[in-house]
Amino acid sequence: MSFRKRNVGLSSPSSQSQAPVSGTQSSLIPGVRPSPLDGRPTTSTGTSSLDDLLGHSGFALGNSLLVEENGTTEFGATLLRYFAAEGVVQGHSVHIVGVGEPWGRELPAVVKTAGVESAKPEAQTAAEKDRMKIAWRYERLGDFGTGPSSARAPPAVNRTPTSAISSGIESTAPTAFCHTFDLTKRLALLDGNRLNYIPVRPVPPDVSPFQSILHALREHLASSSSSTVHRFIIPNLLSPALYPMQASNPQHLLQFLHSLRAFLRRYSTQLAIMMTLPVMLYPRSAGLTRWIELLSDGVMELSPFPRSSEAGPPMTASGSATAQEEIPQGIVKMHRLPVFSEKGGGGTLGDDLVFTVSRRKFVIKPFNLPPVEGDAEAQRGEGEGKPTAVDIDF
Amino acid sequence: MPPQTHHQRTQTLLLIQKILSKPESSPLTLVLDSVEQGAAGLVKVVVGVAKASKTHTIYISPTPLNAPPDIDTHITSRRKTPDTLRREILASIAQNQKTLLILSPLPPSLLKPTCNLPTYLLSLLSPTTSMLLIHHLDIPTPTPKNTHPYTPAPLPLLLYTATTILTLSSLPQHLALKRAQDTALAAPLFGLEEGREGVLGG
Repeated sequence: MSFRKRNVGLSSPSSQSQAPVSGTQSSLIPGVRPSPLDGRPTTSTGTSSLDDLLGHSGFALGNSLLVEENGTTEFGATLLRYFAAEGVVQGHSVHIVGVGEPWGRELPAVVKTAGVESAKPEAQTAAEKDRMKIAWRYERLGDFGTGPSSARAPPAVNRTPTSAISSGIESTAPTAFCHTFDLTKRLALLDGNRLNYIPVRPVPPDVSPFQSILHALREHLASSSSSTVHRFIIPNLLSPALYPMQASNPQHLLQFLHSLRAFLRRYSTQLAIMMTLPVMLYPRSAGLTRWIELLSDGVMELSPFPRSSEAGPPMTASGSATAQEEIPQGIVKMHRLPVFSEKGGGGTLGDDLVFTVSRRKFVIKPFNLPPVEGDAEAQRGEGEGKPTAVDIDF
Repeated sequence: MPPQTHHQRTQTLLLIQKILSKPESSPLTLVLDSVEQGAAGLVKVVVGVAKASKTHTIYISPTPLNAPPDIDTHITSRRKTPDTLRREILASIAQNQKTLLILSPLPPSLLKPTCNLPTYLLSLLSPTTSMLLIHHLDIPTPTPKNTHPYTPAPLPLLLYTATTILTLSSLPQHLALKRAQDTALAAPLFGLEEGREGVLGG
């Protein structure tokens, strides 16, 4: 750096024009940013805590994520809806297999950023303070390395368009990477072309039902420009309600997954695939499920807690400590991470993680055991001595 | 009793009351019964409630012998192909009338690999038609031949498709278990675990 004039502020306009952003082409596409680890283009899953888990502070393009779900709940579908809604908001081309238009109508709406700021003013100021210390050119790479257990400001704040614009980088392009969605509101689809539904056509018993899907996907990928990002969503793969019986035949299914993998490698900067699989019908011990896992780049498993059963975890303890915290609704296990290389990619494989779905968000965080239910008497004994705020509320 | 347990119990009671009194609240109810606790009593209650709410009840079983007396229509499922059975059932469903189908038990012809069980069951249902499906846990479901090994078995498929699952167990057995637990005795065994040759106690 000896050829450069000294004592010149880094944020001067002259140096701003030479902002060295790795992957210049990918940075122009909305909703795509380079990974802080190795610069590969990543996009957001629509769930910021899942983005952090995936290691590159985003979902690396050219990869597939398999969400296995135990039981008959629809938590995996919520993740898929976030993924689809994020794609719609960013202007990506979203393809949905098997389900019809009613599925697409239930995408969650974006929460106005103003609401987020007013909700967390202290977090905002903390983020502002933090930003002064980081070199500004790393800032748009997101909160790398903070992980789900981080005590720092929530990552969503750093990604709001207003803060990105105020920092002076790319004031024309919105750099919001991951939006916040409200599950109770419906996303207004301005033009129906953004969502593309690929039906599973009924076929004779010996023919693979996946051929027509692959054909449709191939056409869409070939006909689009090289700067279009495609999100391919497969809800409830092999579910008997959507697929014919022969779909679970390894001969058909493995061919389909291999073809998807070929697409992912060929369009490695344009395509991201996310799918869910009912593990209740296809248990993880079965050979077929193992093959599906091997042919997917990332594998995570959701195991919801049984609701309102006595065997369930005593989360709603009478203690006031758990009152503010949301009750976890199930366990998350990461079995495999996409792009897990020697450069890192997250060390969250072994952690005990839980997920919580509330109106606003799907959060994955480390699991901490709450106080034992049996201690309720002891807690009450303390409470009688000195009335707390909770007691007064009652 | 802690207030939370009380709340849970009230919720469970209300829920089961709603399921039993309004068949349309759960389109596909699966009842798992066994030799020790049959579903006959439950079916009788459901049929009685359905009759009170002017719901047309169709009972589908191999023979009319064990059918409850209050049902409106009986259809024999013995020696019928799935398509014949479906045609017969759909013919007896009146338009715009609440109908309750009771399959006791699931005809074995539906477990053949050529029949897509969830699709078949869904084809019988409509907004005014709901179904009560009785499955005997003691009778092993034959593994369909000529299929590849990864096809889901019929019972997991039913469990996955059903909107309500009721598992029946015997009240005297539970009382005996609780009595043994309260006095710190070894829990008594019932049914096959009892190990008595030729006799089914409990």
